[in-house]
Amino acid sequence: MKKYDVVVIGAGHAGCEAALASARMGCRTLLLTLNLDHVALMPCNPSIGGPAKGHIVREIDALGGEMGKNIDQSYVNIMMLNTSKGPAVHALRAQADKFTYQSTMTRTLEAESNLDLKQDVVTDLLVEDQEVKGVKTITGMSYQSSKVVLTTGTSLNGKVIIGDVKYTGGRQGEFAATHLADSLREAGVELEQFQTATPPRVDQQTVDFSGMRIHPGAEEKLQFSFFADRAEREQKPCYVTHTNENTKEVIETHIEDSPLSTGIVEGEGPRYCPSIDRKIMRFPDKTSHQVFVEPEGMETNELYLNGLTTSMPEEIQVKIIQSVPGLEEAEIMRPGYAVQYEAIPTYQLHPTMENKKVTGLYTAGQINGTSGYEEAAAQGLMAGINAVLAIQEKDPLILKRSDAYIGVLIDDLVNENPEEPYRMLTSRAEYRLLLRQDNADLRLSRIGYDLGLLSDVEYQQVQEKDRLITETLEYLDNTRITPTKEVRATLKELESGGLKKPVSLATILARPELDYNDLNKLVDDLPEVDDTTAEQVEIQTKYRGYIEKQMKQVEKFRKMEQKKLPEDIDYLSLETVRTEAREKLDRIRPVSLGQASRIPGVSPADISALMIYLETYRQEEESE
Amino acid sequence: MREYDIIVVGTGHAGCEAALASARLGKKTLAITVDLDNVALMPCNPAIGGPAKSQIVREIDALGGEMAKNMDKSCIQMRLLNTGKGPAVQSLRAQADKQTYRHEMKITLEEQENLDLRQGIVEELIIEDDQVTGVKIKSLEVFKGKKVILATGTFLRGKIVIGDTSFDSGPQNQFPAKKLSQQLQELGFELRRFKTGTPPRVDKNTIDFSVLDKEDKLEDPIPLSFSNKQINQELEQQDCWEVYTTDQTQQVIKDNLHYSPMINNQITGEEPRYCPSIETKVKEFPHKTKHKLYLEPEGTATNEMYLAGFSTSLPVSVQLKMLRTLPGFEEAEIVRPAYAIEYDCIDPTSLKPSLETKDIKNLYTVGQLNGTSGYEEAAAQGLITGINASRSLEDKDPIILNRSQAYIGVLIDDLVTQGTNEPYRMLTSRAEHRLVLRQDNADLRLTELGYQLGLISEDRFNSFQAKKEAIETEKERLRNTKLSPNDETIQEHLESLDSARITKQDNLARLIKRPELDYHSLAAIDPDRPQLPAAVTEEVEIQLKYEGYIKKQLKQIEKQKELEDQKIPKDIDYQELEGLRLEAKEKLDQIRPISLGQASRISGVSPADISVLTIYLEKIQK
Repeated sequence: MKKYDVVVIGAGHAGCEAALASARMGCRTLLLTLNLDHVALMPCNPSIGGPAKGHIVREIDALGGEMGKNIDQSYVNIMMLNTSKGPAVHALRAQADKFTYQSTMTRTLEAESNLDLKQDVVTDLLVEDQEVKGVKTITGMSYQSSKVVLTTGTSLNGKVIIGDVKYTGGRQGEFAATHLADSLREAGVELEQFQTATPPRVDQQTVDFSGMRIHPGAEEKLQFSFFADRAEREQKPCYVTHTNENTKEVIETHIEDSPLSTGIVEGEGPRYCPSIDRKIMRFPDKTSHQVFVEPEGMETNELYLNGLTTSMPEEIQVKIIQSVPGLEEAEIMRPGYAVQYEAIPTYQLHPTMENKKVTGLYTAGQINGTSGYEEAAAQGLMAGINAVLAIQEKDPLILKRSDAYIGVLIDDLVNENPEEPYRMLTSRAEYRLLLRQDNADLRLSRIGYDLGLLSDVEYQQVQEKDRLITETLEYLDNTRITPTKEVRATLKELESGGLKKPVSLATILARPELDYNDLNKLVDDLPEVDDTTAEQVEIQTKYRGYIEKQMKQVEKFRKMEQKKLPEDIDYLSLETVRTEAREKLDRIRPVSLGQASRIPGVSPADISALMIYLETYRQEEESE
Repeated sequence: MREYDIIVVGTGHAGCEAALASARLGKKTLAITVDLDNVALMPCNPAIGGPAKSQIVREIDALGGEMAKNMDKSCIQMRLLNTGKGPAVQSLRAQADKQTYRHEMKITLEEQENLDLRQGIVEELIIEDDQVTGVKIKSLEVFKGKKVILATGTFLRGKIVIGDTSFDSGPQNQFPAKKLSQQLQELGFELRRFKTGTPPRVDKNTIDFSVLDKEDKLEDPIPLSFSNKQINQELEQQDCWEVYTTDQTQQVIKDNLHYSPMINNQITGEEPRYCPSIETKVKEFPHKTKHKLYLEPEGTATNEMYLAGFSTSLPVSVQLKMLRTLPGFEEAEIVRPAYAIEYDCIDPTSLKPSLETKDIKNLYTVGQLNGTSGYEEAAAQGLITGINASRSLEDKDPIILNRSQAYIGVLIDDLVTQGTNEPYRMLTSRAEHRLVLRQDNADLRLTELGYQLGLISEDRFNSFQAKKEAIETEKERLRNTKLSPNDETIQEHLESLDSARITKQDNLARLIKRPELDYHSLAAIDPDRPQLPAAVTEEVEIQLKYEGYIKKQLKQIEKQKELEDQKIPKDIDYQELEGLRLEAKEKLDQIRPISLGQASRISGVSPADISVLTIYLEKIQK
């Protein structure tokens, strides 16, 4: 039996990152997929990034993951969203050429030296004494491994649903993993039903764009990755149109055919990506919903109708689409459909993504009840890293909520089992002023470098940037401006307010109307820096107060995070803690007091009771 | 409900050609596929062309089909095979970048006017009064179509078999189609079970190339399409390699033969004779110690390599053992395992020569569903069907190519007249007129027809005519270029080429016929030679060199034509025909040949039966 250090099952966005991270950290890695022609397939929307998700992509990049680099080589439209708002919510978003995205990722996987890529269908997880021993495939092959990362997406007991037709399939035209679901159950893993859906794709030649708002893509050069500098790519526009009264009428007339009425789809759907039927029914007073018309590639005529997700019967899908201005003649190329699948309730996971019941089993992506390519990729990366760290008998990598959106994502997952597909939102992060997409490299690349996932050159580049920022900030703090006549005249010219007493240059830059280069008019020796450094200096100066406040909160909280909870604690016997909290604590088994405090159903009173218990526990330990 | 003129089910190589031809002929066409990401997938070998097959590809091109053009866009290596033999069996073989091939074909379909492309799993034909009127897909949507072309490949009750495991699947783990198969059976089609297989794909990085021989390739690849001057220059040309099995390979296979589903009868379907699995080769030729294999890249941007000749359905663990006995493969890793696939196909004698089914009006079948093997064979049938379905809508007669006109004619005639008991692959030996059915002259044979059909543009037709004229003019000029035996430069030149001196007045056309001479070697004694494209001079040379043989073959064709022209009335009642042997009556009734020629090729119909039929036909004509 062939032996590997790590076996990754599934080559979607989670599986690709898991396999690459593991191989790059020096482990013999096997990546198994049921169709090698569909590596890194984007079965739903053709885009990467957007609010909170763009942040995750940059965090993945800073940790040495692949998603950012891959989209930089395959986008057909890229833009920075929310630029009129504060820097915390600026978000990079790109439309991918799906075909190029797939082929680029396939090439990267193939080129990775410690990584074997194989087409096969995994049927069994080999488990002995609650420890993973390997996997078995439909062709009768077995692969031995002490670490298995499961990234099966929607294929665990997957069912495709269109109208009132329901059949077994991982997604349109692909196998479902039925044996594997049974094998997981046998190993004691609990599963639950989830669902998601995708809108129809239509033929670009049958769409009238003349009345639609156009999004041509950014004029300036943008890219996700902090590292590899990529050539600018040709862009193709996205368009926006709206549903109207007619759409509403079509849906209301046929609502009995919607899965909302028929109940054919089991499991919860994603709240932040609802079907058009659900949107219309939930907001009866809203007469219009946005529909983004997005290209699926540079050459293909397929267009993705973002906002028109539905699994209604196809004839009704046609009616819905054709009620929308510009889509009156649109022809469907792929109908929308729903997919129902089994996911693992995430209270069964350690923050390392390892299963609590089965040692050596890691899960990432939709199997953990999340939604989105970026969320999946982030978990894949973390699962891959932690599987390797476990082999190397090193401490796991657990990102804090103040470190990264990835930290927020995993902390949320393991503390509170999502009842619907979990999507990352900026509002989920309490320290979002710190967790910006522009500073992900400064936050995380040290970790990526220490893990061996970033090269010397890549890390030196970040160190250099960090040094330059620090020096520039010091210069701004130490350089004082006195209110001379010239200075006041210059400020006036810059449409900025007056100056009464000497202040630091930093104070001047904090003024909202001024940018870094404006300071050149006030001093002669302003350090010349590149745009990204200038941006960092501006943000850190202008938002200094808020940032410092958030850092203080983080510091305060860190003490809670550092209070580790013993693994063998018997929560059910803690009489001072309320019964609900005892049960929750027992189920989640938090690693720290900080984590305990975020478990829904655990009150501040329970936390203080827990703190008191910890004190006595420690004293007992010491006296022993 | 959507209404179409023509609905094509499946977008493999047959489906793509059928859909394009029909849309280009102005018919509102719908192409439905299980997975839009797999249009024009090459689930087996990464090559197009080769003996008899490149002839077909060029015929498809001359008739306005797409395969050659698409291949020119995705070619990463090309060889000219059988250069040591006569021009009839010379053929081009091109390796494809599979991804580019798929992508380019999908874009071509998408851009085609009159053609709608959509994803769906067809589960049912809508039949009213023994004629098809549309299809119903899995999600219950119905599409009306005046004609339906089934191009379902190996999807019908597809089953992948590896060692002692098997599972329902189309090629490369795609969804199989079960219900359609059942319905065809209910409609009276006799379904048979065929089997085909594919070798393992191996990771290039795990092979030691230093011990392998590189194959020669054309430095300057020749486009397959007559309309292209060169192939896509953006793809870097790749190498193919030769590998030989060893004694150990033989031993591993022998030791594990009992695991073979072909041998332990887990697979009952018929295997393609000309593409057998390695275990079959070892079993059938126990004394042959070495089998030649070819290692071919699957694309420019992938490490997957195809090991041609190593198709197997032995268990994956055995596959790996076998593989590692090959020199250079000691550390090889399998990326995709080899597998056998069993599938349902119909008996092609239930088809008319137009490829419409005899029993269900307006229903056509093509490709592997008709029991053939090969991308080229499939594409050819697809093209012809697209044309015939369109013509039928205009009440025009179907296009039925003669066996003397094209390999496609041979292919379809063989299928509908003889049927096939195993996956049918085209071979040059199947064509009795192969000297005239060359790959180099496919345009001369068929462009005019393509133009008449409306599939060849005015521009292309004009340049074709110019080429044709240039060939004739040059042949004429060579005939008229007289050579005198007194001209010493001529005699010296001939001597320098080891060719005999001329003894009387001669001409250049005659000299070219000498085996040791060719068009180019005579340049020195042909001062008036005009600058001509290679395609023209090649043709001139072949036509002159083989003039005698070609003439002889044309005579045979002429003779045969009399039989082909003798049409048999559609309503003939063979049972009433006295003098016919019982077997012949049954066979004729089953096949219902359209001509005396076709009747003569039905196995079980003797020359005596043919003369009875001839006499009968003469009688009714009077």
